[in-house]
Amino acid sequence: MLTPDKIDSLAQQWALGTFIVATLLLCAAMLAVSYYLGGRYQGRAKNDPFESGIVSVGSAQLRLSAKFYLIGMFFVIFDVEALFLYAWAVAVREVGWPGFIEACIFIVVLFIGLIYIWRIGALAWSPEARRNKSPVSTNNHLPSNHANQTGVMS
Amino acid sequence: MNTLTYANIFTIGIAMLKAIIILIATVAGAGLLSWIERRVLGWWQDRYGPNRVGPFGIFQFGADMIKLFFKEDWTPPFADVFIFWLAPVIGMSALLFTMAVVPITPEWGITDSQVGLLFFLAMAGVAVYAVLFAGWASNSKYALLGGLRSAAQTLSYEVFMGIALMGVVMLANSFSLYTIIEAQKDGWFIVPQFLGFCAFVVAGVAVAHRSPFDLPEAEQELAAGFHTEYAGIKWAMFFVGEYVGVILVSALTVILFFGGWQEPALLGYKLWPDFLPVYPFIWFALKTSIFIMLFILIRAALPRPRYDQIMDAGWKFFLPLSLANLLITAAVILLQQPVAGGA
Repeated sequence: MLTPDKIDSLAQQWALGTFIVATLLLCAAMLAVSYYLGGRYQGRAKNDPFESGIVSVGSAQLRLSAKFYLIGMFFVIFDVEALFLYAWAVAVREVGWPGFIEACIFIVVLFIGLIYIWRIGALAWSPEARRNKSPVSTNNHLPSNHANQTGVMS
Repeated sequence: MNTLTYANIFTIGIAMLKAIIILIATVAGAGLLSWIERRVLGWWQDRYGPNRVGPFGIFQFGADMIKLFFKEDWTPPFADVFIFWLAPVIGMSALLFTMAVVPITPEWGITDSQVGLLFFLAMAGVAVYAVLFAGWASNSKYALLGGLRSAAQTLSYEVFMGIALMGVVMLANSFSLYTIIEAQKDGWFIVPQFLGFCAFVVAGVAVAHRSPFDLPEAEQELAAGFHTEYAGIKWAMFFVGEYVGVILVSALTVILFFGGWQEPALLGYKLWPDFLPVYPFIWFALKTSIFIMLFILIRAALPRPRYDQIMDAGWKFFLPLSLANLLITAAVILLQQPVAGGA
């Protein structure tokens, strides 16, 4: 015979399965209904990518600033750190002070890593030439420079 | 082989029915929230907002939905078709899946997972793919830039979101959201985990792509960002996903820091006398609504910061802050232990 606990966990598993399947079915149904109900129209410039009214030039598979890839790498480094800390978080009472000291050493090492990537400028979004300039003093007479200060994709 | 009795099958059927009800309620809540947000924003900006369809415009959501279903389902000829269709499905379902581990009341909740909190973090990670895929598959420059920005921003904020929540996990000694709520019987975690709360709310807003962290879709710079090329119901699915994110992050804030379905209690003092009746669902809904309103108020009140400021805040301020919070929490827990456990 099944115990009430077993039945409860079985019910939860079935409920979870139902929930996931129903969510995916709902998404599929929304897409399908709209596919059949929606109209079909033709227009002269309809099949151009939207670029605020300017005719698109070249491919959209652009070469991108390497900073985005750097962020990806930092994420991997620091999220792996976080994983070890997750494991420590549920065991903090069992491992006690020795574990605390070890976690401190671990965090300090990674903190040094953070300060290192900070110091070499890997977390700075503007190029080196434009860094360390106060936005008020230098840009009053230089409108082009001011435009650069607000630039994001540089 | 164990056999199931009819009573057991009935129990399982009820659990499955509850799962369907929670799904429908969440999606309907997300749809209704689109109307609430426009109404409330209109009110705060001294204009009406949608007020024509039904009493106070409450059926605006239905009218919008019907309109969206009859819009042309346009896939751009320059797009990568499969990924273009996959992105809105991920966008809507990833955060919706997380509702499966959210305890609404002691009886209402789909599953009491031992790794509930980790499941949320994993699904928040999966949700990034929606934006990334949408940006890449659209083959449009605005969309690509929006997708990239969003990926970098969300990755930066997810790093410290997990660490900020570990303080709560330490106090409750579990990843299960039910256990975390039970652990707040005598005092909400907002007091001992105030720093973690601040970091989580900021990260939650960023993960849900809500203003002021909606740089991926900054209208002034990138048209609509990652969903520039999306139209009709596919666009609406991103939108539903965003509102589900708002509901989910609000619900999690309540569960992790404000005692979930429990009545107010701070620092060991119950603020709700025992002789008064308790309504777990009302408490949960009330607290969650407050945080949903806070989301909308933040959008109405705050300007959008520059992208480099957002990234700086994440890496240079919130990450060290969360790590410090973690160490302080651990030290306090160990100091409060009566005797260093002999092991």
